Amino acid sequence: MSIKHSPMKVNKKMAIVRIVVVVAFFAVLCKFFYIQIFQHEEYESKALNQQTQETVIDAKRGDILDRNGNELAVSASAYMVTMSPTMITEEEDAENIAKNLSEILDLNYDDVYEMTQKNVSYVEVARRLEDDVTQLVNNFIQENPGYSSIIAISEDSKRYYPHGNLLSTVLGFVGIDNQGLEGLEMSYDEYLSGTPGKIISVKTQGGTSMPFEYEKYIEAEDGCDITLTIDLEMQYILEKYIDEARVEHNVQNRVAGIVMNVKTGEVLAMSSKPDFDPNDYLVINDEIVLSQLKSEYEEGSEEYWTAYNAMVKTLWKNKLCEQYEPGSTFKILTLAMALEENLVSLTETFNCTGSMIVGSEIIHCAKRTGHGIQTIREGLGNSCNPVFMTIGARIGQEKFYNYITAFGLREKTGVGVTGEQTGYHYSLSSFSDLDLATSSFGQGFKITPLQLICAVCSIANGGDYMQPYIISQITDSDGNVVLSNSPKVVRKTVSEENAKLICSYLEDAVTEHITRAYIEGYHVAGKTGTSQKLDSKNEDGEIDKQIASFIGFAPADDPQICVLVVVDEPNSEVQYGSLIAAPLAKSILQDCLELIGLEPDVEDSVDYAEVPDVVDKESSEAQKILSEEGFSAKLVGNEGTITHQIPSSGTYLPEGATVILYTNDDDVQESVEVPNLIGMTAAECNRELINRNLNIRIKGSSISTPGAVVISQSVSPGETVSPATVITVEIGTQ
Amino acid sequence: MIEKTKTVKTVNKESKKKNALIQKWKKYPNVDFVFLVLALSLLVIGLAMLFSASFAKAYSEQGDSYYYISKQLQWAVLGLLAMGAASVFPYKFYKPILMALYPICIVLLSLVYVLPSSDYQKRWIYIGGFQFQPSEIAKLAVILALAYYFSKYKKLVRKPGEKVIVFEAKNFMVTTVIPGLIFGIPCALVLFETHLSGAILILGVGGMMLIISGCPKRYILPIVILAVIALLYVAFGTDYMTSRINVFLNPETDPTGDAYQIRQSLYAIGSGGLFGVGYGASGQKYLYLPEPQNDFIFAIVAEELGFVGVAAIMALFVLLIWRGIKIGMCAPNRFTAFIAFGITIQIALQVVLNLAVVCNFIPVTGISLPFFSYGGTALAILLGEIGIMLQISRYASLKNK
Repeated sequence: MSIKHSPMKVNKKMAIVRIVVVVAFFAVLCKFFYIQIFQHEEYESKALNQQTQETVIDAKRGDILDRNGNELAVSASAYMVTMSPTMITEEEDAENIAKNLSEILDLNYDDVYEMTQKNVSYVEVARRLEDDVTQLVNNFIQENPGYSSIIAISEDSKRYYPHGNLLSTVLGFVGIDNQGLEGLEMSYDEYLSGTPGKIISVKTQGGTSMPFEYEKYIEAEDGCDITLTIDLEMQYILEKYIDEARVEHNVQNRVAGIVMNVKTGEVLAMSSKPDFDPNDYLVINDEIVLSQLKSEYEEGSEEYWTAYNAMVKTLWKNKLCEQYEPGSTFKILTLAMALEENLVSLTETFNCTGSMIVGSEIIHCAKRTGHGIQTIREGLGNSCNPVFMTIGARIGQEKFYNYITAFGLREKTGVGVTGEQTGYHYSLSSFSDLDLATSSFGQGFKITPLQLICAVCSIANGGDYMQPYIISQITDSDGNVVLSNSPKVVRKTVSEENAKLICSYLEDAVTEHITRAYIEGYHVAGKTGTSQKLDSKNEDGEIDKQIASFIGFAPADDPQICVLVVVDEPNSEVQYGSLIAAPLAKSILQDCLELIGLEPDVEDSVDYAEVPDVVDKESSEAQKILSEEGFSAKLVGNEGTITHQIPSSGTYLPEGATVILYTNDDDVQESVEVPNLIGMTAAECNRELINRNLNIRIKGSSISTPGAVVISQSVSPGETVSPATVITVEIGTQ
Repeated sequence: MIEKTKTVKTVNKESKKKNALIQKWKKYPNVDFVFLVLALSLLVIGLAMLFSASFAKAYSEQGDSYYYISKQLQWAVLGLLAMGAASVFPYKFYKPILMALYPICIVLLSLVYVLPSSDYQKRWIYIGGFQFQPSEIAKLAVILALAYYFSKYKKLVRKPGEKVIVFEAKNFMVTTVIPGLIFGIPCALVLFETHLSGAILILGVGGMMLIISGCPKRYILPIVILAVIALLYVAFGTDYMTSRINVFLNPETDPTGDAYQIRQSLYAIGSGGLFGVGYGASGQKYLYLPEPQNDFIFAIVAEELGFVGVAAIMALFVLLIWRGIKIGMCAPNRFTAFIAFGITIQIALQVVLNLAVVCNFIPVTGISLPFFSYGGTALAILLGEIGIMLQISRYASLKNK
């Protein structure tokens, strides 16, 4: 019935089909080979990208501490709220969440709503939240248990500056993502920030957890702590007095101050105001700046806010390291150059006529009538420009240029703060005689306050230029020291002998001239400066803006602390450094010296008083006025109307010192030769000086010891000085 | 004593009967062990991979990681019983049952249109808590029916005086139209259930068997042309398919829409690399790849076992198919030859089409992978078919060919 099976024909066809099947399989296998071998990396990364979810664990940002471990910048724990928009299924929920979260977190409803619509499993809603706000979010989640898989609260950290504006321009601040944006926070960000950790977890589509899920935990490495050389209390002292000075002298620009450890180069305090509060760095909290803005622009207007925002940014910058013209404070360095090069003798006298001609220019002295005949010591005390122009000319361009370099005024000091500028000085080829003349009294070029204080410190400590620094130590989270700075001598600037001499001259300058900086018993040495802002002219093209400054250190015989204050554009009637900057520096220096526990030299305590004006008064009346003020008077010539007094009114003299009165101008003695006092007893010495119309100041602890005699005198024997000059003698046993 | 001898006699009679059965069993030709081992290997690997691929989805959807594998194992046991039965009992015994399968199948396929259905694709029949796809049975029914027809019909010889056109019409009817209708009717029924993959398989298997049957080429050509036209119509004339084709051409576009599945499949395969991520270690099965236990199970296999595993498993399939066709070539008669060929070619078609879809070689069709994909009835029927293959292999003189 059935037809005969014809296997040959059918089998042939089956065999062909079999081959076709094998070929088809091979083709598919080739496709798999292509995907698995050639496209492996591409698809693997895409697959991993969607399967893994990285949750970043913030590393704790390191703290910034002062030298005693007080916190200057710390990271406090805070909270952040995140959301998984993909878990929101109902539109109603999206609206409810957006409404409530925007209210609690003080956000825009539309912004939050937009987040709920995103097709992602992780969105940061708000960061750096305080406990109270976080609690409100938590309550909201508790009330709506269904939202617990949508809204999450996790730990976050917030940067906090416990002392507000204090040291703000040095510290800088961090942005919303904990990234350092200014100051040390920025320049040392890599140390402070640490390495964030992360949790890499394999999630299912939709982010739900699975029993077989894999998780990898990479621990965060906390940031390093930075210990500064800053002394918190000194910083407070510095800023307190700077604030006072700004108000008192109606300072238009900045007041900057640095306190430095003379022996180590450590910055103990530094500030430049106006500044800002890094806790709230977008807001101007400086009253003076705000009132300036309000006087210039209508408050709340568009121009006002433009100016406001521009001002905010300038406040962030550290103005301590901005250039200025040092003025007479620079004479310290000019003197150092001349002494080092043996270009001036201590007994040599200079005659100041009130001006000096350099090339075709007449350059005036601060005292237009001239200082007359004076030694280099007196020239420094009087801050006489012609004296320094004279010795500047002796130094010459080339040596002057080399010393500018040696004092580190051409390069950044490398102290470790942001925004440091280099100094500006002439190149050797363009250094004219006129430039040399003005340079020798500190005008016509610019350096930074930091450069000046470093250079002066090198003289104060006996000639060693110390590398200044503000970072004392950086330690990692385990307490290992990562970086450590210690005092380092960069180079020798002057010989120890000359350094000592300059120190004693500077002490005399304070004691005898800049008495507003004099602190009883502390041997303050220093120099004022009043420089004109040559590049800043008013509408009439006149240079009307000035910078009053003072640099000083104490004690002069063993300097510990150096202070530089720069008052940029004081707007009070007097603009002299001696009247504005010196008292400011004195207050800072006095508090700082007390703080470091330096006892005043009690034996040396002398009350200074201002010499009253008795010219044109009857001699008897004049003597009475002087005795009331605690001075003794010595009348030269006959009784009658006083025509001249030495020293002139306004000078400070120790109590009991002698004021010489003249009734006849012809009797006025131009100068007195200082006798050799060495070996005399205190009484003999006193008598000798009074006879020569000179005043005495005795120092030394062994004054009452039998056999104590003068072992040194502040003015060398044979030097000529003006009458009534205070000669300081040291009493001791030989 | 008499009693005793009686009992001894009856015992002897029974033992003789038993001995005869044993003798008969001993003479009974063995099944082809090569085919058996290949099939069982694939079954074991398939079940192991199903567990790995499905546990995440099972846990997520059913709360029980073993949901799919335990069900599949139950069906595998049932299937193995069917396989054993089919391989032991000579096919003469169940031939009537198999012959009845075709009409039953037509009825069931028609019933799908009448019975209420919860599925938007009308392809399931629910009886109590039990559900199955009649199209699964249809594939086997069509193979058996065609094999039966091809073994019965006589080659027509033109009678003297008969007009050429009449002879050609008769011949066309017998060699092409009737067998065409045998698989065309169920194919159409399945297609209109919008069960495209089932229709493609029935069409493919039926077509292959028709070609093998000795149908003249001049008749087959128009059928092939018609089939191509029909396919093109389905591919481009219906939204259902055009979207799939777009996905095939641009798998990277539209990340969450239609392209999502194929894209996730490629991620899985690509991630596998040469040696794979290791058994159980797939990341893509965590709800990224939809239906990892079903049509796309091989993507997870490729991810976990790598290209080496892919090549090994494909080699097993090729060997099984090679051996299956060999069984057909050595079958004792035309009927069994066509059955063996039909079953084997059906497996081959399913495997090739499934793998081609998974690696985006061809557009998504929805064909499951034999031995691997989840699906109880399909697995049980497959194992039953393997049983039939084994039964046929007993009488095939394989060593000679």
